[in-house]
Amino acid sequence: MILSYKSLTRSMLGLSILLMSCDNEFLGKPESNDVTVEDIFSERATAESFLWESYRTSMPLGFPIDWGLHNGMYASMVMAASDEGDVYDTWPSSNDHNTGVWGPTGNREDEFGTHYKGIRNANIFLENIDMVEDIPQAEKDQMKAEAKVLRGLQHHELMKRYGAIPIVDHVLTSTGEIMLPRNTYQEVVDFIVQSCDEAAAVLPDTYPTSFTGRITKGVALALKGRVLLYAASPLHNTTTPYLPENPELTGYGNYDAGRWMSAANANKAVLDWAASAGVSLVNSSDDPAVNYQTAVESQGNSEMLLYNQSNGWWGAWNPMFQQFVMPRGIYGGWYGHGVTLQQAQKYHTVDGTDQEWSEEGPRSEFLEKMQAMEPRFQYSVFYSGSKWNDEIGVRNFYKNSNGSWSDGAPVNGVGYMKKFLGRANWNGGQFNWIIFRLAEFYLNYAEALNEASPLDAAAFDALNAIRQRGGLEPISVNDPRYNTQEKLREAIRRERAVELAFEEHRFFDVRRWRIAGEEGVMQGEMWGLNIYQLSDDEYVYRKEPFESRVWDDRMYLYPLPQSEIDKGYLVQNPGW
Amino acid sequence: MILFIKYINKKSHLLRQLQFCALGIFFSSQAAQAQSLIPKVAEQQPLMVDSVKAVGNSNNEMLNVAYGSQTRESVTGAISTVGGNEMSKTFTPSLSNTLFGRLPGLTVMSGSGEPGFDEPSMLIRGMGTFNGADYLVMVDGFEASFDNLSVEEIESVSVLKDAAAVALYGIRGANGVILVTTKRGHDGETKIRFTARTGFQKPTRLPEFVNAYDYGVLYNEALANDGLPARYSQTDLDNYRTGSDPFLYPDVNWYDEVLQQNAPMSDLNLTFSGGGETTRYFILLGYLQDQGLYANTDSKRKESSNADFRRVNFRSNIDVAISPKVSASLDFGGRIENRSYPNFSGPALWENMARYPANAFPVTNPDGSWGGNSSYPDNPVASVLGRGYTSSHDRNIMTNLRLSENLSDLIPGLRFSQAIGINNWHRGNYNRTRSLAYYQLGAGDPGSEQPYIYYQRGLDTGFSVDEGGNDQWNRVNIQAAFDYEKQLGDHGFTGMIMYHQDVLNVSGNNVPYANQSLMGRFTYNYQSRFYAELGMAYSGSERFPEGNRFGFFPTLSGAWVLSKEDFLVNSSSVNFLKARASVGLSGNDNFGGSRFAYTQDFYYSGDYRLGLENVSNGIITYGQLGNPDITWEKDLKFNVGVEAKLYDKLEVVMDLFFNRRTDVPVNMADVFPGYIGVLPPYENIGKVKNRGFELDLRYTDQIGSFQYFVGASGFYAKNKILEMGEMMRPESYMYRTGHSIGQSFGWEADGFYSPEDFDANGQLKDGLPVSSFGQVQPGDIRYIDQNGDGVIDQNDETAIGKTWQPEFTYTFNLGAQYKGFDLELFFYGLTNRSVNLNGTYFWGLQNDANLSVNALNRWTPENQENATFPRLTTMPNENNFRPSTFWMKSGNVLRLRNIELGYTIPSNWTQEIKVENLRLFVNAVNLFTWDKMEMVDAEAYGGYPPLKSVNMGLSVQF
Repeated sequence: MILSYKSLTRSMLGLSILLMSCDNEFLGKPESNDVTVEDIFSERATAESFLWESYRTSMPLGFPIDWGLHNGMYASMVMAASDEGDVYDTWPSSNDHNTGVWGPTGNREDEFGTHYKGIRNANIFLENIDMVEDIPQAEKDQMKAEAKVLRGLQHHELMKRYGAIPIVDHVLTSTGEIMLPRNTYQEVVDFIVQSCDEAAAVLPDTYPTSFTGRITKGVALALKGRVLLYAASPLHNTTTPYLPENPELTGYGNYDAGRWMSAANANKAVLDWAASAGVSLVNSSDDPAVNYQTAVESQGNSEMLLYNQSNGWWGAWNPMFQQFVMPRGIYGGWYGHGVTLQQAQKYHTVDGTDQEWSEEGPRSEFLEKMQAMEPRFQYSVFYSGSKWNDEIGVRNFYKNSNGSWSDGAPVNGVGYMKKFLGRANWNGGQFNWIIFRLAEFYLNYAEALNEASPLDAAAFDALNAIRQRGGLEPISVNDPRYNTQEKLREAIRRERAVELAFEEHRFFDVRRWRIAGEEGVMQGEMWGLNIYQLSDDEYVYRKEPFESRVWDDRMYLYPLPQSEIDKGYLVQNPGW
Repeated sequence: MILFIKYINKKSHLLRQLQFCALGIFFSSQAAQAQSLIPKVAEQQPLMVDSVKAVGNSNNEMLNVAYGSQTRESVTGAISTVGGNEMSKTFTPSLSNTLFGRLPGLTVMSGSGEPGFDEPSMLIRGMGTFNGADYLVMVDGFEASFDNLSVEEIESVSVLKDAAAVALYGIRGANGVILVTTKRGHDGETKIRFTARTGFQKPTRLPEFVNAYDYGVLYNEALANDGLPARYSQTDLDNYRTGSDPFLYPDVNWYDEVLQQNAPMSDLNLTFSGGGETTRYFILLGYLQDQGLYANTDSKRKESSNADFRRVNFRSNIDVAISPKVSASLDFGGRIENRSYPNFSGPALWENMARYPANAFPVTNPDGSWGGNSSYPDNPVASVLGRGYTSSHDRNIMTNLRLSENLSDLIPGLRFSQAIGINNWHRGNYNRTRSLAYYQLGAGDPGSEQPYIYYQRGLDTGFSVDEGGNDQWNRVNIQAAFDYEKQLGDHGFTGMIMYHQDVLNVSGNNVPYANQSLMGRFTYNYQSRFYAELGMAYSGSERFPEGNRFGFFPTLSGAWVLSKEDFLVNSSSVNFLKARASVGLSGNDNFGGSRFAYTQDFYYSGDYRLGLENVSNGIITYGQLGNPDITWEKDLKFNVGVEAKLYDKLEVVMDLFFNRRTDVPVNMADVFPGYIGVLPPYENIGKVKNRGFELDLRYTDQIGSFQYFVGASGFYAKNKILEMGEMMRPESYMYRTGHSIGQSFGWEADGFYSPEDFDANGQLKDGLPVSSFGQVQPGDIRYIDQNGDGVIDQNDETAIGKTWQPEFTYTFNLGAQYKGFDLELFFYGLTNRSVNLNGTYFWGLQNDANLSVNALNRWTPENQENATFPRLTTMPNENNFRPSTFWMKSGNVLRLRNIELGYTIPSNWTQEIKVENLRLFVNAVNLFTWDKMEMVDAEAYGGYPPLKSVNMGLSVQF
């Protein structure tokens, strides 16, 4: 009996010990397909894969290509929420902005946290790449520089929208300190600029053809140029911010003309680098429209600095792109993006004058005046009576005499946006989103220089480089239309609206210039030219407003999402 | 484990008889049954007694409890049980469909009626956590599904509800447990029993849609509302109305075209049971065939197939007394399931039948080709008949071997038992499919010879056969236990200690699922009047990090049999009275999210394109952050109950429970700042309380030879989220915390906008709240501006209605028996629930959808007051089509779930043909339903509908 009791006790003990030891083995997570950070940064192949993930999550994409919010706006492009354009249908989210029905609890242009996904990836890469053994140090340094620029790029994407934001320059963990306050505007600018400076020192000018699309030295310089241009602009570089609260979050809180000079120098550095690296404005064709189209659409064209290549026919995501962006009824388009009369009038006629429109006129006049517009307009805008391509041919869209709309209508504005889309067809295609192209930096330079050194000849030169490539005559200070700083400023802004149309510049430009509140910019009546059928063969155009837009000065910077404010870490932007 | 066996073998000569058990160790925990070599077999009882949840008159009846059985009187936990015979009155393929209302505390709600996939959803005592309230199902002591067992092999199904009942399941028990016990052999002559049932099924309800003419008229009206030109001319509409050209102007009711009137179902079962002192057996052979609702399918299954489910069940449960000290049981239960379906079926097909308007296209064109068009490309009839079929062949074998050694020579009252359970499933697929061309029909040029023009879409392909996609899993359980029993005068003791481990290997997943436990149950009774029980489990789960995988879960419970006290023992009114109470801790490791939430996964997924040729480069991405401190949910359960039998006629069982769930894992997305740049981890901050009651009454009596009973039950469970890591909400009424899990949120509708609400320019008049969901016009749904800020937006979302799950379930049960006739009616009802109507069935014309008849009473300027549908629109309309009280219906439903009428042929007739018992019966399932829904079943809509059926059958016993 005694023995038996002992054996029993021992066997129960045995069971218990068995359980304890099983904690490690029996219930342990076995080796499987997943990898650890240590595995990733043990060799080149996996480390590179993580760098590509950093790219994927850091590169902006302005085309709406799925039902998410982050690419473009929900079901629309940002251009439709600025004075460049409009979407006729009311449900795409550009309409939220135009009607002023957006705010901290709903802003379908952006997802705050998504920017930080790319930032986190870049930080993981930066903190771990040194562990890899089979990548030479020089190449590691170059890869780190790429990650720094990607991280800076996303910080600037945030800044454009929210002003100062928390700088995240290390990997945040759930056990570490995660309650970061917002840095000041100046600190974020300095952080990005420093990243660009460090990166530019080690980045190459070019990559082999199978690796184009990576960050070059030119991209680092370009980001710096753009960041400093924004920083020097009236929204931030001012003693009288748009709203008085938290001036350190919305800008510098003071004015310093030197910021314009820094911006001019930084953008000049991009032009200088381009000249040395063989990057130049596309100018190879006799037809300015072809040159412009090449600069916008062609992969690997000579002025492209950085584009996002994710929007292709192979798209891993369901390519809603054509449905959302193509004009009504063309290659699957649902509603298209209209181009406002305000935007159309920023283009010149071929001979450099302004196009004037009456309240009403015959369709022949409409066509005649449209056809007299400059080449970039012909490429960028699809108006009633113009040709889309050989397959679609000429399309007329108008309001029937019985009050209904014809096929291809309605559209708000003078016609549809055609820019970017010239090569679309039923088979899909490759639609790269432009992040940096050289033309921008001529305009950045001209703008900043005219502020730092009014009417500087170099500013005219930079502006004329863009005008001439677009098929317009150069301008000079001798022309009374351009003989003051203000007039040149207007000319540069107008040229920028034309050359960089729909590329997600205007939406932010009118903010940093603090002109968004002006009538016809982000508020008040938005205009179009509509064709009406009066009888079977009699048509007229009429100049008509299509909507009245709402602006409030607090909109100069987005509100941080209420859900983030509610977590108690962040201060809200003024007015929200 | 093997080492352990060797150890025991070496140390104890008395255990040498174990040597034949080299593979593993097993047990059979008959905790309070040490006297019986062979597990007690409940006798096949006559109707009236069997279906009674007998409380008083059979207190020594054995009741299944966790890993064992106890006398009914000694049970201290809350357990409901239903016998197989009672379940067999509801003829449905899935066994859980027989449990509606039968087990107080078990909420059952219909799912799809699709053959082979008709399991309902079930909850034990409602929802105790917002992470999914999946419960554990144990068949004969091992985890297994029971839906496809034959009802004829079921001895009983029990629901374990309180802490005492689930104590031994430790880290997996918090959501309750369903115990299924199969039949075993008995001592005596071989009994042969044959049952056959056959019947017809129909949908409980199908939605109705408008005809082609109405569709055309209403579509034009919707366009006019949108300021768009009409689509159908008067000529078009006239053609729809007259039906003069069924090809260019079709008028198709897709349900009529695709479905047949009735879907047959039948089953056959043959069982043998019997045995002697040393060997007992129960053997079953069963076959079930369940056909789908699709019409005109190829019965040979070459071209097409109906939805079709065929199942063969077999079982052999053998109990053997190997020696006076060693008993064994070998259970071998299996099934073969064959399923086949039209290649294009399931929810997508049912969605199309609802979404395609009557005038979309003709079923077939004049030349016999399939109709279709690019907006509505999948002709539902062609989907079923023309595109081949998919089929699967499943095999499942569950083998349980148990050994039990009486060690009374060592210590009186001690037993040692071992068990191994191997459950193995394999699925093979055979798909014979093809693509179809369809032809969009156009009118030919007037005067030409061809009245129709055909536009081909898609391509006809030949049949292709695919046998890929096989799947399998294998589960191996090992258990070992010591049982001890001792009676010292008035004091009775039992004890049980048990080890259990479970490994599930799923094909395609190289990480097996594992869990492991050491459990104990110790009972004490004084004169069989007071019972006390201590249950505990030290159990572990793979989902937690090393060092934190095991938890200790103790439970204390007690019962007092008041009817044995002096003051009641001679009472004629109180025949039996027992009060019991339990308190204890149980766990739940089955929360959502990453399986190994303590670590972060990095994995290859997707690509990034670089270079002028857009070359794909693989990327490594990652999942949410790990939480190294993650742990299981803990449920502190309190329960008090009373069981009584009064006047020898009325039985009452009542339970009250209060559960408090803590450490509920919460995704911290609403707490962690967005700039962390990664999905935040789970953290154990959630808390839920859940309380309710169960009441079960039964009155049994007889008047002469007329026997009858009346039963009623009601059970209620209501939970409240105390903490869920919720974000700060701008308005207090927006918080989910403080509401029940699954509380509906939406907008409070306030009728329609009327023309008077707008000024001459069509702008809303000042002072009326502006909808942020789009421009509104008369006939759009108007919402209450909850926060009074003048805008209807996300901040006006508030709790509306109830949850989808009912808070209260009730049943009525009537039965009678007279001269060979027997009749039973079973009603069950769900209350305190709400249904949100949305999608294709209800939101007419949205996403090109059809219009259901509910849209006929739409808002128009002429029909403002009584409209029950907003103005029609063809455009996306986020204002009208969002969750609101407008679309919310009461989900209360009462069904005559079951009715059965039987006649047993008098035995003096049947004995001449050596038949012991011959019974004929007819029954019906879901024969009548009373609810507030007009178009769809209240418990499930979308996809294959729930069914009702009328059946007949017979059972013969030799």
